[in-house]
Amino acid sequence: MSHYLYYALTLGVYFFVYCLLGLGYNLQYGLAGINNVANYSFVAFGAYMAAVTTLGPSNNYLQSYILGTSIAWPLPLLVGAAAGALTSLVLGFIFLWRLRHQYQAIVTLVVAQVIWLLVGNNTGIFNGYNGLAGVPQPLESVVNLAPIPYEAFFVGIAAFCALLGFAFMRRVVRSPLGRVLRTIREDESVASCFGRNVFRQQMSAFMVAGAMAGLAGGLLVEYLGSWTPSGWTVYEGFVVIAALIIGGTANNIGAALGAFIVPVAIYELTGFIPPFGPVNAQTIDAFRWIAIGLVALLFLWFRPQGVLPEPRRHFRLVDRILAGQEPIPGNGLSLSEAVHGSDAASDAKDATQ
Amino acid sequence: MSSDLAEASAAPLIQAVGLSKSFGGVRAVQNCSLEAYPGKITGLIGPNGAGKSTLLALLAGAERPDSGKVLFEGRDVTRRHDWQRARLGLVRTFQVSRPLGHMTVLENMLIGAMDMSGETFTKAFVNRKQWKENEERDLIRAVELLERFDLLQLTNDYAEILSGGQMRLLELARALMANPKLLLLDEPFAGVNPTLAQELADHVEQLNREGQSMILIEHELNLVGRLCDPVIVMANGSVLASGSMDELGKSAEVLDAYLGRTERVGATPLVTTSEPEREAPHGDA
Repeated sequence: MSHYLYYALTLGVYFFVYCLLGLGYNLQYGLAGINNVANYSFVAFGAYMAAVTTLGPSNNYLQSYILGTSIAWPLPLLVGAAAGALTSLVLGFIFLWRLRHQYQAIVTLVVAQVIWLLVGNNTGIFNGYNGLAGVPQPLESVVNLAPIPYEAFFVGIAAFCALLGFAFMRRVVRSPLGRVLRTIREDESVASCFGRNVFRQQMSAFMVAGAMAGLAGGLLVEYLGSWTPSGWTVYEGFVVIAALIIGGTANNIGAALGAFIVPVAIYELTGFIPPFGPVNAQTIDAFRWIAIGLVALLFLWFRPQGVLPEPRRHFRLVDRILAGQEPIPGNGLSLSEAVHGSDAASDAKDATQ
Repeated sequence: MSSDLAEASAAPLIQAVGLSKSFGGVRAVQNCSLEAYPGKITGLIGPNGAGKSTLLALLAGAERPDSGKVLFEGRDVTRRHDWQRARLGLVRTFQVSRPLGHMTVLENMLIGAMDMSGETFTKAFVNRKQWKENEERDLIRAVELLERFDLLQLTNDYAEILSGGQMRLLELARALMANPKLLLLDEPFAGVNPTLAQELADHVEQLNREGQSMILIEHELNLVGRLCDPVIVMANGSVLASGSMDELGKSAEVLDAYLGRTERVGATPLVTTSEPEREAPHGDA
């Protein structure tokens, strides 16, 4: 029984971390229209930076890495977020300056591969392909809990971060900032011919999304205890993209729904397929990726807006005017008078004068 | 059309000095100079490929000139980006309508307003009260304009479902949200039926009467004759002539470049030509 509870709590951690990832990806892709396939590189960088600021100084014998220190939790998470934002700032100059559409996507993919190879082959940075291990879990000795209560405690940490991300994105979407970002997504020349600095707006969205990815990476490494290049390939990045496409692009609840559908439901449930005949465990692992790719493809064909489409923005003030509950400012006519010829209305007005 | 006030202030609103722009080997604009004065609609006409839209892009800052200068209200804006020029009050519309398809008509209007409060991550969170106030003011102005342009019923519809003519109306209304000092209109009547073109022209005329300065690119010469004074004629990337439509109609050079014929100069006013022009006015199809 406790196995199932433990497993459910594990899924809970993944769900909330992928919520955060989905919300961050929604900010850059769903709102600002940046076609970034390298999003998981920022997760990885955040994870590595959170790890090296937790592990303490490197003893080059077991694993070698840069910047080894040990700072109090939750500072490593913030370092991870800052690392994600700073990497975004640097790479943003490559991704956002002139590149658009599929060219942008291709370049981000290439850069993600370059980063992956650089980190993997340079053992001095983050211990190469062997990666970092033995990252202590946050506040383990402080809260001093048995495995299952500690797991629940970690779900709480992840849920807190995800909710914070959700509240943040909710405000962004409803503010003029969200409107400008969506304008850039729809047609950036319209944005710039109405005085908006497209590069700066996209860059700031990209950096904030990078910070969210870095924070999610920090949570992941603190949960898993280790981080190696085999855990942040293009496939992992694709899970986040597929989750947003399936859940609903430019919809925050859609991002959360996608985090449930793809990494939790599809990925985990396919793991329960038992090996049969010629199908061994490795084949089943391949099935998982086929399943995710296929579902994403079907959505792109038949429901590109995702399960939950982008919500239509209404303004209460204007809706009251449209419902005839308030006169149109300026001329004092009600909507029906304005639309159905104002003859009757202007006669009535003349009569009252 | 031109008020006494506009006559009195002789300073041009915008001034292009010797602008040139090449795309590869094509010299789209060559050594073009023009001026547009406040309170007027300055027409820009010429055959397709004459360089009108490129010149407009150079004025708006969407393209950088190879040489030459652009002065806006006497200030050199040649090295300023389009978004910087927009903030100075120089707003353009596009030859092909550019609605923000997956945003509502009302949101399209709000993007035209350029007070820009609450548009950075910090301001969106810190100055909520201030941007709410500004947004409310913009909403009221948007509703006024939507009503004026007969789009109020479409307020909460996505802009992508609008007809071509409605998109033209929205584009003009959106540009007015910015309260531009100078409005650059690139064929605002293109692709709409003649009735709606007249309606749009009425809007443009009325806006001008209210003091709005504009530069207008248009092919339909009767509309140009009705709305624009002065009119600048372009051909092959250069400014050929300028003056009122009546004056231009008598110029052999203009008739030659624009209509490809020189006979009966002066006898046939340019704007009432009944023969098919080399370049058919749009809206005929």
